[in-house]
Amino acid sequence: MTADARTGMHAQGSAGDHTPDDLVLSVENLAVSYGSAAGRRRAVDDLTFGVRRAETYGLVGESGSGKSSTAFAILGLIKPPGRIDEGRIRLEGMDLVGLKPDEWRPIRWRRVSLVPQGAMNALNPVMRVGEQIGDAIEAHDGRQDPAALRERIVGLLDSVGLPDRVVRAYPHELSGGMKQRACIAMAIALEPALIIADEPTSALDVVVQRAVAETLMEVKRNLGASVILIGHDLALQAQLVDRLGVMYRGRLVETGPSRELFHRPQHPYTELLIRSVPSIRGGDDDSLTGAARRARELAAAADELARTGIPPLRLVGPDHLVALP
Amino acid sequence: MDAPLVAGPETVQRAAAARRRRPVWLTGSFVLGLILLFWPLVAALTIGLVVDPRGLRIGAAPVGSAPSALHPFGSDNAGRDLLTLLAVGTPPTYVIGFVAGFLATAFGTIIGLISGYARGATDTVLRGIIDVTLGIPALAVAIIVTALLGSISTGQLALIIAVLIWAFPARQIRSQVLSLREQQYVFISRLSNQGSLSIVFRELLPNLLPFVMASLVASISFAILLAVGLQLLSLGSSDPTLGLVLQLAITGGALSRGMWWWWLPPALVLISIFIGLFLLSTAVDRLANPRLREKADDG
Repeated sequence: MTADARTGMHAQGSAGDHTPDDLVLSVENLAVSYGSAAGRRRAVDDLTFGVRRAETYGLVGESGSGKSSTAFAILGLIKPPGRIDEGRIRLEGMDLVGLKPDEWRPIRWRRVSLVPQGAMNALNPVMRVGEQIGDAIEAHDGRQDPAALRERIVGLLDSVGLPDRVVRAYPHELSGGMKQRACIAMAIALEPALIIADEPTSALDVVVQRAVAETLMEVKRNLGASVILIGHDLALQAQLVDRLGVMYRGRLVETGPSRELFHRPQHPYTELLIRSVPSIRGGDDDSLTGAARRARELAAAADELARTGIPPLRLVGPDHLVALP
Repeated sequence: MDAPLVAGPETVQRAAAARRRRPVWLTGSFVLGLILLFWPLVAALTIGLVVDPRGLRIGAAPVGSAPSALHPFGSDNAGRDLLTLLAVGTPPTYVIGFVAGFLATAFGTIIGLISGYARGATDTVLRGIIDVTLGIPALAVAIIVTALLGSISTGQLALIIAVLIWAFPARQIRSQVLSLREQQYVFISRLSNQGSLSIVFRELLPNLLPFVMASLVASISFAILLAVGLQLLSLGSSDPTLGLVLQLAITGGALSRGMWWWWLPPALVLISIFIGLFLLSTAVDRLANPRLREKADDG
């Protein structure tokens, strides 16, 4: 099996014009485990996927399915008792597994950055927003001329739709949506090739969620960066991502172009996960009992997967892989 | 009679404008705390300029006399003028308290920050030292050390006290750092490659200022208390201080002989200092908390 096929970049159909060089990130056979007194437990197991340049890749799954562990592995943040057991992670052709702390220096934030979960606590309450963004810039680019630095920060804030005055504002003076925008500004401060957004909108209300997500996408387009959008909000993912990966128990159950996955899911688990999203227009059965039934079905499908195990992915369409026997 | 019973709109506006101009931390308790803490020092320094230092000599006044026009604070049983003794003895008490308090808080804060942020082996060693130091009864060691050293200066006494009490702020700051270092903004700073020193002093320390201030105030109180305690036992500094006045009063039997003018003024001064320190500690919380500080500095 070539690396090409394993990362789901099979040169076939519409995906034919993509070469492996298009990959900003490739994750191959990644396995992450955490140790405890009771033994080691795999959080990510034989995970293989790739993210193309300027692409938005969605990772969805239940809590504990290994989404955040995957993100942490890419950022080099798996610390004991956790460890990367095997696999490769390549960012723009550079191997990330096993890098030493100072080798991470030129990579983190400059080439891969994070928009954290719950922006409420991601900003220091006693520092002005501008100072915090400035610190991140100066940590990489060294001392800056104050006027130029300020201009750069204002530019960053402007690109996420925040007014100049936010430079001098303390976090408590901002709304939740503004804080999350400030976090996006911080994440793009060094123009990384890859932005990992770990449930960036989970702490916001629905209307603000949408605006913040659109800001993230706009910023991404302007930078030409790729985004890994982690979350369990399928409705949001459906609108934003180019390709989607569905995770369960540390493995991919199905991955493919999001349109195809939403319209023609191949795996029963994917199908149930998508059907469990309530629709405002009303689906075949939108009553509470219907929702409860679907939740039960999803749980049953999950149990079934846990019992039978997840087979390796196989190709079922252009770019579309599914873990079915 | 002409004064309006109800404040007119102008008065209200003026009051509101005055409130806006005033920094938010400048509260009643801050001002009252400053006054209670420092009036004895200001008074002592002022009186010290005018009193005759010969009043400290034995027999400068009639023995054990109650307050009179000539000796407003009376005299002790050796005929020392108590006003002179208070004027000379008050400033060194402040020196001991502030020097020992600042040293202990500064050292303790640095150790606490390092210990809490570094964790691992560094933390184990530093925490061990902190815990052992906390376990040593400060007054008992102070008694032994000062008894061995004999007569020492005020500065030396302050240093000894600082060595004995730094572990309290260290322990307090360390436990705050342990919780703060897990905050997401610290995680983000680490992720964006900021150095540990920059994270500890730029990100964490400002968040800890209320605790540092509270520790400082507590350390100053404790240092003064310890110094007074030592002097009640005739130990420590031989310079005249408030503690020395109290010691003389107790050994001279001021309480049983009803010589209230001997023990009451130094006791009141100490009480005023302690209440002042307490009020200040509640007020500095506003200084360090930007949520309360509001726009005080941007106008």
